[in-house]
Amino acid sequence: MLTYPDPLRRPVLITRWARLFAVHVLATSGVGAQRIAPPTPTRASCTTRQPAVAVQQTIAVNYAVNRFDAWIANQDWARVGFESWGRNIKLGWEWDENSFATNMFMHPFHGAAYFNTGRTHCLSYWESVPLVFLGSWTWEYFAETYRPSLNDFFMTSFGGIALGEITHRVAATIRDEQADGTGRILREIAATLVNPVTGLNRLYHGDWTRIGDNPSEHDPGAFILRFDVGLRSLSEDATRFKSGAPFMQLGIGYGDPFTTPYKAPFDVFSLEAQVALDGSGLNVLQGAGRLYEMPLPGWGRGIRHALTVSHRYDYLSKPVYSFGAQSIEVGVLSNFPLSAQTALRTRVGGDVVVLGAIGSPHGGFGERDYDFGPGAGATLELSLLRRGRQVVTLTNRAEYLHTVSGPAGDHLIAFSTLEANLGIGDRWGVGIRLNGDSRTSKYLDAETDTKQFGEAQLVVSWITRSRPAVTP
Amino acid sequence: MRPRLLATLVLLIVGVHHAGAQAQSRSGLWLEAGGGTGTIRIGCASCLEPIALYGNSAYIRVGGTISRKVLLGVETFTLTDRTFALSDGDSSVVVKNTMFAPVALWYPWAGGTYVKFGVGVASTDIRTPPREDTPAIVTNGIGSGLTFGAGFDIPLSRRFALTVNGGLYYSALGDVGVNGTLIDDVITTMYNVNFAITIR
Repeated sequence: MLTYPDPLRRPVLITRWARLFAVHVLATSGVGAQRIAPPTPTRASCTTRQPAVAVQQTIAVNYAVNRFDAWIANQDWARVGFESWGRNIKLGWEWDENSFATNMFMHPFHGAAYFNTGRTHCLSYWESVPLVFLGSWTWEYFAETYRPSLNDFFMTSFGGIALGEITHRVAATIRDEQADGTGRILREIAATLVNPVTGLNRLYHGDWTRIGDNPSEHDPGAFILRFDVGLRSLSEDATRFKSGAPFMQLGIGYGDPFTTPYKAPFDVFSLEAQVALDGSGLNVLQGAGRLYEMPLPGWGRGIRHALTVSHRYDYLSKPVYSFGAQSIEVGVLSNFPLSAQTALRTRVGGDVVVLGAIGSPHGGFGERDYDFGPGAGATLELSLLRRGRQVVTLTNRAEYLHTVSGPAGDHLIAFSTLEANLGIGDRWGVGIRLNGDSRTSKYLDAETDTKQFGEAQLVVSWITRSRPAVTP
Repeated sequence: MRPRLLATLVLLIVGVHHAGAQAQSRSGLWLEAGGGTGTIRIGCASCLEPIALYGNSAYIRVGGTISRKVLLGVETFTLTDRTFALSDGDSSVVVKNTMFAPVALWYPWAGGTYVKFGVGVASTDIRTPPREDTPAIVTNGIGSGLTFGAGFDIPLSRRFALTVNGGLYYSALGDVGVNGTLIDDVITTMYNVNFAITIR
């Protein structure tokens, strides 16, 4: 690890901007990249742990977002003061009536900013966790005139940890601290869009142009990036499908449970994001990161098993149903080689839902049309792999939620997915996905409601891999 | 008597101080059991203001050591108020809040001071005693809970410590029926101070 004294590191923002602008002008005016590099001394990617600064920035995030909402967005709920602080402390927690997207996506994304104030200042994953709870708690009590919302505290905190570490690692793979020129700047901008807190800290400290060592998160070894475009058709009763609507999907596989040795939480994770182009926006955001892994003995040649503990984040907001959850999953992963190029992978797991949300006809409270509750679930997944690519995947998952906010009742939601992909060369592929989901809601004071949902997708995929994520 | 009492106190303080100079952190398996006092605030969707009660708390925490600074364990905590009133002049209802949670204890510094975090299952039982015309009624709610806390170990010997800690417990309990009335979306907040003996 290289460390250098840093005489240029002084808090004069205009100097950073000027240097950045100069580099950009040089880079875009035809001056060779070699001639402008290195603009600043090299240094290691993270040299000094600064927990006090991380705490200050967590509070600063709250202050900045609150002032933006009060002054720019002109939101009355952001005009806080001693009166609202005293009232919130006196009255305590309640459940809010915000939209599903606000509670289950925007709040976790907000929590990711708190988490990354820690990661940016060289704190570990576990050391950054208290910052999320601190930021979320102080926001709920002191940054809104509304009473503090317990569902926000849960979702911002647990979702923020998951999305925070995922965005931290994805941004680190985008950045390349040994690159220079326009490409370097574009990488820094893209990484800042993924992880704004770290990107802005780096900009302020002049790290956007500094040559240095990449952090270990930059290269997870195995890495898969997949873009899908396709058409999908939805059905509310699993038989009558509506005409197809276009969608885009991004999939990331960071590390591999069998080839990436366990070192730290989320050194292996997967992420799926789906945006529908029919106006419904973000439909799917699901991530699962490895918190801990212990290899188990295999009972055959090449057969491998591992016990894993994972943190799951689920956000499913489809036109026919909504479901979101923060959960901890314990499972057994297995890899069975079938030939030199093919393998069968299985995942059997059970999970505890710390707090979930589910839409249902009698659900909700006030303007809210969904219920909150803790629960538990189970997953069974089978994947056939050829040369490290998934050819056929069958997933079955069921989650039970007990309502703690909404009409008294219980929900059971089951997801079944069959996915088949045909590779065309190394980078391209076509595939089909069939989803069959069902929800049963039992209420104390209303009739049981059962719904079935169907979805058929036809996709064209583009895949890039740094290394095969799966070795048969 | 007084000089003897004073001498005993001095010896006790010196003894505790001497033990404190020994290794302060827990190692291997450990068990912590204690009790104290606290307050519980019960809020609900239709409540204008939360109801505040006071009661006695008790807990048992047991676990293992995964590093010099981090301990993992499970905790069961109960706070009971025996004087809850459903109507004027009545203070015979018993409210018992319980939480069972895996917990992590983090010792950020070299001494015995720690902070605690846990997430688990929370429940509340409300027991109305029998009346002239009605039997005893027990209603309950169950949901998820979060706990935060801080404390410190004062070594008494190599194996024992006196632990002083404060805790904060949030419980999301859903609808709870009391005397035929359903209270919507109950949230309880408990604050408490405990003294415990730790075997470490």
